Amino acid sequence: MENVYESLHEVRDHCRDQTLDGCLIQRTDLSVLSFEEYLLDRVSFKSVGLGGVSFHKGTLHQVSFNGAVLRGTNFALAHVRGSNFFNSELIEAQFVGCLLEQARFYDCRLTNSVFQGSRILNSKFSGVDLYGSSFERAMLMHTTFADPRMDNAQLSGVSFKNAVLVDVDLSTANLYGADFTDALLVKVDMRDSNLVNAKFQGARLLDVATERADMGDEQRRAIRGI
Amino acid sequence: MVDIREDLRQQTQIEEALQHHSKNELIEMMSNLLKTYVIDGVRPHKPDVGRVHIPQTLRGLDFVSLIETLKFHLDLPDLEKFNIVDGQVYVKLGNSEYALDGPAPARPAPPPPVSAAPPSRPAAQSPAPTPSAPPPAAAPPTPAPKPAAPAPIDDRFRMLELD
Repeated sequence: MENVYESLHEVRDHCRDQTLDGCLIQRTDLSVLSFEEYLLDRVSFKSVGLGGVSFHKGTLHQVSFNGAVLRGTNFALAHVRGSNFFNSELIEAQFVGCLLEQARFYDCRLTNSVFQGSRILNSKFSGVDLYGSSFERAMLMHTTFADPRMDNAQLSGVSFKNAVLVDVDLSTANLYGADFTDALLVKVDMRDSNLVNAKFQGARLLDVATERADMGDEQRRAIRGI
Repeated sequence: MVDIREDLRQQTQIEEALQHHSKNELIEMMSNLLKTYVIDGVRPHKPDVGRVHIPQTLRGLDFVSLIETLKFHLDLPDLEKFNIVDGQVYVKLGNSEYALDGPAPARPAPPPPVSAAPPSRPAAQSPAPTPSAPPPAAAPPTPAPKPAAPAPIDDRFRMLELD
């Protein structure tokens, strides 16, 4: 089994050459640390305080956060691959310019998180609250937003301005007031979603399904391009 | 059938949308698209999503064209009940086909009285509902004519006769 660290000092002692790998870190507060430009490989954070910690330009490979506090944590320009976020608090977390590949978010609070300019590939957001989050100028590809328990993923007030969404599943999502201004949507499933008060000015929709979506005349006209 | 105009329109829309992006952003997008779908061979979540292109001029279509469009794009068995011949829509009900603009299909004549029925209950004497009377609640909205089926007997009127 991997190494298990349960204190700040143990973690500090095992961080060499900005690398941390093959370990479980649990039940401790690391909010004073910085993992900027670190390589984290096969690291599990369980019930760890990481609020405000910086993973800026870091590489996170097969890292899991379970029950972690990541409020305002900075993942800007990081490369997060094959990593999971379970039952963690990510309010106002920063993913600006981040590359997320095969990332999984389960039962996380991501309200007001920032994914501006990020690339989100082959990822899944399940049971997450993304209220007020920003995906401006982001690229989302082969990604699913779902909520198996509540039936509709919470994306109300989310901004997708100038974003590019390709092969994205937003069916049944609550997109109330979401902003798709000047976005490009290709193969996006929005069936049975809530699009009330959503904005589509300048948006291009190609092979986008909106059957049974709840929306007003303004959204209907914008989606039809008339 | 490939709609070349629709393909060109989509291409134009993609180009217009991508004009807002910087060179670096475009390079990243291109590399991610190639890596994901070409090199890794990832299959789209729902390849057929949005493939039903509803014409923007749908509101301007007459009924014949609308049925033609629906039959062309949708694979619904119920739509096979509709046929279009010489600009006329026909609907198939049972073994018969009726023109929507044609005369209403004649209802089959009521069957002759059953020989076992008592002579004091001729079917012709059953009181018919007056024009102002509401239709029976149990009646289906558009009953399909079934020529071989016996005419239904309304239980309410049977009770009236007994009185």
